[in-house]
Amino acid sequence: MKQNLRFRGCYCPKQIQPIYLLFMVFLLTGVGGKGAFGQSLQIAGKVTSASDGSPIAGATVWAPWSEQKAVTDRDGLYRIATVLTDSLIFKCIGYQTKVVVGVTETEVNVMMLPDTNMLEEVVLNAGYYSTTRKVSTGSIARVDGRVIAQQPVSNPIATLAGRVAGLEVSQLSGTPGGNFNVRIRGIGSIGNGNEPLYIINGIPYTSTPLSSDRTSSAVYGGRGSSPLNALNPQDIVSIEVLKDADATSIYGSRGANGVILITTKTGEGGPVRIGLTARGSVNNVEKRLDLLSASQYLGMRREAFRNDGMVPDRYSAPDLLLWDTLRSTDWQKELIGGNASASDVQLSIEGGTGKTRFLMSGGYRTETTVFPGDHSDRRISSSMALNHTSADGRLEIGWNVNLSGGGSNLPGRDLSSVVINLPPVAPPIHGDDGGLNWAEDTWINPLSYLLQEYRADSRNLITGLHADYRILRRLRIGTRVGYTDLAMKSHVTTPLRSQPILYRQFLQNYTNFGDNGFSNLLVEPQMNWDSESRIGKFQLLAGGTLLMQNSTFLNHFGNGYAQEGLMKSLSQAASIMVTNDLYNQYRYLAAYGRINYNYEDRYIINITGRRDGSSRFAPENRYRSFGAVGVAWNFAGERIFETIRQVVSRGKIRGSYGLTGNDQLGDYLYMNTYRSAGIYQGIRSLEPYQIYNPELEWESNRKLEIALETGFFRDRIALNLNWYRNRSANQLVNYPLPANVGFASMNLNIPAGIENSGLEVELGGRVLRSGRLQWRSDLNISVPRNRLLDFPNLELSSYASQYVVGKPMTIAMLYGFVGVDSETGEIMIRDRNGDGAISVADKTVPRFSGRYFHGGWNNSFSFGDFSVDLFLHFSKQDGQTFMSTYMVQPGGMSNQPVSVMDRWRKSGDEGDFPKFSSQPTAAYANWLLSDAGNGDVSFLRLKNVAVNYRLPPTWTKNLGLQQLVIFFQGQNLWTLTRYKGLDAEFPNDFFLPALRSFTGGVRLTI
Amino acid sequence: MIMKAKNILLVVTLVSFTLGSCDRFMDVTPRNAITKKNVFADEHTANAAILGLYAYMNASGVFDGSGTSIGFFTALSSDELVNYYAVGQLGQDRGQLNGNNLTAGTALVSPVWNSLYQLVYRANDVIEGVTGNPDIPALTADRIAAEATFLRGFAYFYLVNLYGRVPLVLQTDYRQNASLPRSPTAAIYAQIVSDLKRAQAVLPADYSLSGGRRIRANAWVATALLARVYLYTGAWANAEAEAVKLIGNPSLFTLSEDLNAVFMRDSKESIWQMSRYSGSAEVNSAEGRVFIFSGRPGSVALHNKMTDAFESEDKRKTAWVGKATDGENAYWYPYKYKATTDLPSTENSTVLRLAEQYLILAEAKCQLGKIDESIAILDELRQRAGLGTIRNPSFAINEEWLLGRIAQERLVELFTEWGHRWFDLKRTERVDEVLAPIKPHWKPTAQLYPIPENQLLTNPAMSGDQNGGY
Repeated sequence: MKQNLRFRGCYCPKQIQPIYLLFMVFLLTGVGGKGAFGQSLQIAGKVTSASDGSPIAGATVWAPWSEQKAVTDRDGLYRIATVLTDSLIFKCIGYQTKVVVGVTETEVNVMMLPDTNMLEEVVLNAGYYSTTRKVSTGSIARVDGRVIAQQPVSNPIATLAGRVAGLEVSQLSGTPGGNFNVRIRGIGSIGNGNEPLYIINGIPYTSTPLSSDRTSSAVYGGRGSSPLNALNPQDIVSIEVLKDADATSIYGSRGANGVILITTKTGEGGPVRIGLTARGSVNNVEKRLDLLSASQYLGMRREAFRNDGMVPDRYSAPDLLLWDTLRSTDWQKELIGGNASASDVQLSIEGGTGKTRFLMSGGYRTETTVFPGDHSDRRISSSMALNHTSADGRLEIGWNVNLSGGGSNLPGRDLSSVVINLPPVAPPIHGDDGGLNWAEDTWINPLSYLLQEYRADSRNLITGLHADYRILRRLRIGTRVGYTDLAMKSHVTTPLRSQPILYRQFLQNYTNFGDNGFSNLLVEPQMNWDSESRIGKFQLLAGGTLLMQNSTFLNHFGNGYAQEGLMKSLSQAASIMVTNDLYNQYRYLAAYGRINYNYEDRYIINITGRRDGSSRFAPENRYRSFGAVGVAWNFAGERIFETIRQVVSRGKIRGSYGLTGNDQLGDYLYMNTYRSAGIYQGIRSLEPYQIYNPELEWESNRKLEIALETGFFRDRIALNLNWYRNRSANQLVNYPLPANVGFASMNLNIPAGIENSGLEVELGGRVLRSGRLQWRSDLNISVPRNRLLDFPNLELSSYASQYVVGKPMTIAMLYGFVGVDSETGEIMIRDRNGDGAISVADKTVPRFSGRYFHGGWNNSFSFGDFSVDLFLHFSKQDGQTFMSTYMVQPGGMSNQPVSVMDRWRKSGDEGDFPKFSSQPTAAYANWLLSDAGNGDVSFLRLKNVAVNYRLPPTWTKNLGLQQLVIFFQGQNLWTLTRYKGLDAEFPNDFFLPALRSFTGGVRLTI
Repeated sequence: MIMKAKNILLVVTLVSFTLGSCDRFMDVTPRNAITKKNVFADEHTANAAILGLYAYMNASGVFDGSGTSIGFFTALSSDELVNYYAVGQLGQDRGQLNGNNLTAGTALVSPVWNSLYQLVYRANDVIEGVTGNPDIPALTADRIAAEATFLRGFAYFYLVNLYGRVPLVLQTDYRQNASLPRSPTAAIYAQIVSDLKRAQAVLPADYSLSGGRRIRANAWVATALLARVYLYTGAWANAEAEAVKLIGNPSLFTLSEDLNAVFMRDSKESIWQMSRYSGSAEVNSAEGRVFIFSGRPGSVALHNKMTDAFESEDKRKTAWVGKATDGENAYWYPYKYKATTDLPSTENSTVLRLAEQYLILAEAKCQLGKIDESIAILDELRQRAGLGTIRNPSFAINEEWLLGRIAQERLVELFTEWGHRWFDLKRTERVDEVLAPIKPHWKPTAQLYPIPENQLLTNPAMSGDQNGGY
């Protein structure tokens, strides 16, 4: 209690109030009472590192029953007074927590395992079971909560970029809440079903944005907000990425694209500890585009009209004739040049007696934007975990709740989309009267978008209850029940004031409303049977899944508001239209199992399988089985390796092969349905909804993997090599149809195959350990390869102009750019078929866009209480060049990159760019779709820097704190790239890039 | 306590395992849709399905007189409108329409193709749904099918006139349709005639289906379009015969004496109108708000050549042409439709009206050599506009001169309505001579719109079969 009060005295910013409520709830419930006292006992001992035997200084030692604690000194020694049969909990940053149960000795020496994911004892969550790196047969990567927490971002997905071999993460928008592109081992499906399966604490989570397209499409560029915004990264203890057949086949029809398992924290027990983390950030756009200056721009425009032999008039050139050509505005600075601030506070309370553990935490994060005006994005989150083990140790129950609410208040459009086009001589934003300046409708005032308010509020509940009972010595039964309920309400207002003056006579104030929801209920019974004997260890698992999932999408359009102030209310609209009303049900039923045999940890075989049923298919195609076999051989454990164990300390060869499925398509697609359409003659009419396909089937993905995992010099160096080959077949696609069929597309299985193969290398180790200085380095590199294996009758299909057998799926067929005609200054496009005209048939140059190799390199340095982490993320990749985002030809009424100045001016010139022209030309349109618009967009980025300084225990003790850490965190600090646009990680310049962030903060434990 | 927990857990586990055997668990049906079988299982829902075709025409933006409609686009392509909107992608695409330098990728125009074929699909789907369906009375089924057939013919009329040869889709099986090649225009016209004749024969000869409102197809609507199709294909005698049927039925159709009332909901000149809905409210058609402006033009204005085309006495110039001025210059806009707000709803977009039948009849008679009868018909229409007879005692009217007069009369009567001018210039082969002087980029190949690029990419039978010049 004393400590709690002190806590209240020292820190009370405004943001913390909601958390404080939680905290009060905790106090009232009075959890964390004392246990009975036994016979007192004085314990002393030494704490050393398991890897090299060196003493560990600054480790905390807790005795939960007596609520005593101690800290080790420089020599790793400690002394603590407690009671007989109490437990001791040893904790230290950089090491795994060690628990010694039922102490009776007066000297307890412990060795602590370094906390690194390269080591073989690390427990891996495989979803329905857990394994360790040593005995696992599958490909499971783990990102530790510490790595997640040290990145100053709001979305847990953002923390994974570059951290896991074989995982591609790119941020699609820097606007708060923006979505991510996440791909595990490439694109296996032609349609849009390439999202991994997300599982949070055992419960499937959605990858479909909750945001409504009709309200947020201009805010997030049509890609929606990320549903994982609901989760506070600081609540996460680990994220596991399951990649191969052995790990994913147990997820059956949902495992084809890999699985991302997110586990949130549970209490570790012991005396009540209160942790507080507070951090504040400044975020901004890292890079500036090199665009034409006002004088260059005017020169370009005038030259364009001269080239065209045209006299500019007020309609074709208001910039030259009506605007003040002496003006010069830096639109990048005006519109996206601001500094956004973010602050983030997290309070947690954990503790418990030996058998009951609890954790409660609350967090609040608020973030502003780089856009002008007053905008923000907020999240309040709380989580609670309660675990109990019965006295005889046979019953285990656990309950966890993650509850969060989000609120976004953003401009109705991402202003980045206009930055690149606005001429530097554009009129002033505000007129003489202080209102927006429309300059007689000769431009669209960018600040008009700020009058369009986007507001989204979300409520997210993820809760799970599991119970497990050891019914016999070898048999356990258990059930998990999970419930997820997500809802987002949003609206975007379009007041008349934000429209060009000319159109105001035809329009009214209108608002689009969105109301989306997602919920699911999961019931998963499970049985486990273990046996251990001389012939080896057997583990058997059988279970079932029952999943009911509902998604709702409801949109309203409210028109004719009398006043702007009323536009947030649907009922104030003069006319209301329901623009979208969907209620999709998805039911899923399955049985799964696992057989694991382990002989002396040397020979391991793992068989997993699942029989799946999905309501997305017609009854006759509804059920199918999936399965995989994985084997592992720890060869370093063999006798013949004993002599070289000093060199090869660890060695495992493993392999797996199996079948997974993909059912990521919409609901009801096999049904021939009509839905309600507009009104005519006063009657609500009906219209056909789709071209249905009753023969829809699973898409399958066969995965093969072979891996070598080794450790050298007592695991000082670790090297893992993974080779995989995934082949998907029976492609389930949204097949584009020619418009003359009536619908633009339909869902179809086509007998096409895609292969993703690749090599993943993980190399890590301790580079240096001298005295208090330590340096650890970890590198991962993925070399993915993707190709279309086969596609019968491709040339007759509607994909004929899109794909080529043997080439990657991400190629584009483009025109060949020959150059600029030195006589005429026109763009020359290769006329492949020589018919004298440039047409689709000339689009024959395949160009790849995607990654050749990518990875991450982390370096951790520590010197006593001081530590630095530097993380580099890199990718060798091709993609759209910055220039190709310019839809308006050089010379048109749009700003351009300075590179266009290297253009043709007179006969004989050899320019990279054609002559300026004020008129759009077909040649320029073709140029955008030519190979000149594709090139190297590789990058090397200093993705994360985390500097921690832990104040010496003697100081913190005086403050009454167990621990106080001051830290700095930086994200996206520096980038090396040839890409001229804003963000090479997602080369597309119509969206705000991922922001650079400078963050400082403190973390303390009482 | 522990034993209890154990028992509960055991029961829960076993119960959830047994749930797995329940197959009905997997059968989910959508809440906001009904299966096609149920749609055509009774007359009311089948009726809702045919109304869905009209609702689609409203919703698609291509048939509603808006800024993305066929009438608007073709008026930009011809010599009726001048584009003044130059901002952004829309400005560029409008510029291409107005400058007759469209490309296969021009995003603004491709919905025309797509929507026309959507309409064809929906019509075919309804025809297949009711044909031979035992759940619907045979007469009703026949009538619903005929109404869908009319709309299919209507869609093909615009397809063939905008794009030339097009794939002829007559059923809904995508497997066949996805690789249909383009059919010759003669085959398309033959199908249109057959569709319209079926509608003419089966549909009622009054407006009972739409409760007296002229907002749905009936025998007269089919007749009117059939007359136009015969005119376009040079079947003069047939064109004459069909047009006479409408003109000879004054109890149903008469020219509106008040030029300001021609496009009103209750106009007796109207043969077929599209009623427009915004949500559940019937609202005014879009033309008024698209065309009317004050000050300087921000969207489109009438071409000077167009305003000069009126004779000085022509009442249509005062009733149907509006004037705006920005202080320096005067601009003109189509003022056939007066409403610039949704409500109160008084005007419907008129697709077919009697005045056109007069012009069809006059032209057909002239082509058949019935010069006097032709003049009489034309004069009747001119009289409504306050103009005198075209007879001139000083010279004998010959056929060629009269056809020129009819073309001129068609221009000032039908301007900015449903593509009349653009199609007239093309079918009378005057398009080059009229447009070349006023459009710097004019090429003879521009008289057909480009087939959207995506269509050529996705239909292997049409790959490379683009219209000339694109």
